[in-house]
Amino acid sequence: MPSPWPPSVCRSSKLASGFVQNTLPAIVLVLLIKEVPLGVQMLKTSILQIAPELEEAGGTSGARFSMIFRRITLPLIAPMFGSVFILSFVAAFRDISATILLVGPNTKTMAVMMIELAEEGRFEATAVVGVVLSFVVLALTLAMNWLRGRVEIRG
Amino acid sequence: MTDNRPPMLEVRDLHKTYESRRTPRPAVDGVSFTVRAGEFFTLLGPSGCGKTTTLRCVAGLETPESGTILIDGMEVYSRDSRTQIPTNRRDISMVFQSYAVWPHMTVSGNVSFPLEAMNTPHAEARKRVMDALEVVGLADFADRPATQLSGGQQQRVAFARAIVKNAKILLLDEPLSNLDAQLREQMRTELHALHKRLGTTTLYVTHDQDEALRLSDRVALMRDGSIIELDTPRALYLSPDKEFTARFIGQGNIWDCAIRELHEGAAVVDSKIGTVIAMAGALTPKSSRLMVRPEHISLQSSRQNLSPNEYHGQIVSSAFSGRTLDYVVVVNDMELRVQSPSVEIRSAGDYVTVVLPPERCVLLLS
Ligand SMILES: Nc1ncnc2c1ncn2[C@@H]1O[C@H](COP(=O)(O)OP(=O)(O)OP(=O)(O)O)[C@@H](O)[C@H]1O
Ligand SMILES: [Mg+2]
Repeated sequence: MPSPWPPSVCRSSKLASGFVQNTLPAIVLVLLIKEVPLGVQMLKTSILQIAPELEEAGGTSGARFSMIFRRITLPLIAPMFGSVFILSFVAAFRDISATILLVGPNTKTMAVMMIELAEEGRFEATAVVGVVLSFVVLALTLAMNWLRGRVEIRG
Repeated sequence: MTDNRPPMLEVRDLHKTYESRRTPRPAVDGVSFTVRAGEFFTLLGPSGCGKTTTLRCVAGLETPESGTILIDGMEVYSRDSRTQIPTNRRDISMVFQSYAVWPHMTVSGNVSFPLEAMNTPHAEARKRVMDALEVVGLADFADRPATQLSGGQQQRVAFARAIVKNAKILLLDEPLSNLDAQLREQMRTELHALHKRLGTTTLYVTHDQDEALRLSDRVALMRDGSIIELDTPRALYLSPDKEFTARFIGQGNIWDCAIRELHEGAAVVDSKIGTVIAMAGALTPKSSRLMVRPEHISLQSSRQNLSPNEYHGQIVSSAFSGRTLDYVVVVNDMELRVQSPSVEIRSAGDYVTVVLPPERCVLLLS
């Protein structure tokens, strides 16, 4: 199957052509670049929301920085980590715009697969993939709400 | 009475300015005091006067610009010798105004944390945690998640966490201010009993004068980053030196006066209501204000012949509040507030004899 990239782009860098020939790392990289900024932002807000006294109380209790981080800071932001992971995963999972140019025969995302199936007129298959995709997203969203609830209780 | 106990905490000429502020005014501006072993010492003052900042400097959570802090004779901060011992190596524990109980741990998890930080053997730690929970009355709550506690219970957890490690100094930042009036009253009594029992040197921060007077051995009254007056609760209330102290702690009738005669222990002053015999102290020659607290003034039925410190007056208003009656009495065109127990009830318009006890007439620096 021919590469979906224009030849000039492929030739322009060894790195890029390497990615295109073996498209999985390219998809992973692009999705990372797309999802990480939002995730980092969300984590930053959640860390800022931890009352500084919670960590200071660790110090006045006699704990060193490493113990405070391990026993207080990390557990407090852990639920947010999970939540950010799921959110990014859901976004990546149903992404089309960034991945459609990068998929290969052996490395297809479900969202792109749906488009291809629809183009071929195989609408039953499209629907099956769509249902599966929706269920996965739904399950993950529920999981995220559950984690959020835990964050609030801890709040 | 307590003056021969050795010093446990010494703060000398402490200065701290927060850099983040646009117009830097020092939050703490030359504060010095000494807390003796076993003493309950309170920093009292209006909001923003630098109480918390002082406490946080002692804890090592804030780095001062200059000054010296010694805990049990050991320098923990000194600008001159460039000492700054980190918080976790200072022999202190602290209760924060927000309690800062860790929400992801159980009650006993919270309380055992300081012991884990000290690597206390497991069996001993268990026992000390249970003892501390016993002291604050939460022994049955050991396995409760900390999130399932009321405000008062969280406050007790914070307290247990602070006393469990037997630190030399207990730092308490307005630990009662988040509680409702009834609970606060109860916790205040418990705190008093607890200090009596454990005898831990305590540095207490509050803006509540009742709390300060009730709990403390000595009180430092602060304003704008400095200590205005430092003394026992009784001395601050009954014989303050400064007008600010008299106004901040309790209520007072305060008016101008001029000193006519000065004797050993007593002064004769002229003022708007007439000649008054007042207490005299070291600062009396410079004093220009006279203060009498409303509850120290007594009202008697009107009579012709007056002794010294007795005046003719007329009640212009009276307010009944159960235990007491609050009157406004006019003496020589000057209004005096008077508070009397409700045993005898007078009403507006009555002519009275106003009696000012000389030992409760205090001369102040304005
Ligand atoms: N982190 C900070 N950054 C900048 N300025 C601060 C900071 N913390 C306190 N200040 C300022 O320093 C001054 C003293 O604050 P501090 O918290 O010590 O007051 P306080 O006496 O504890 O008051 P309160 O009774 O309201 O708690 C205040 O004017 C405050 O605005
Ligand atoms: Mg404060």
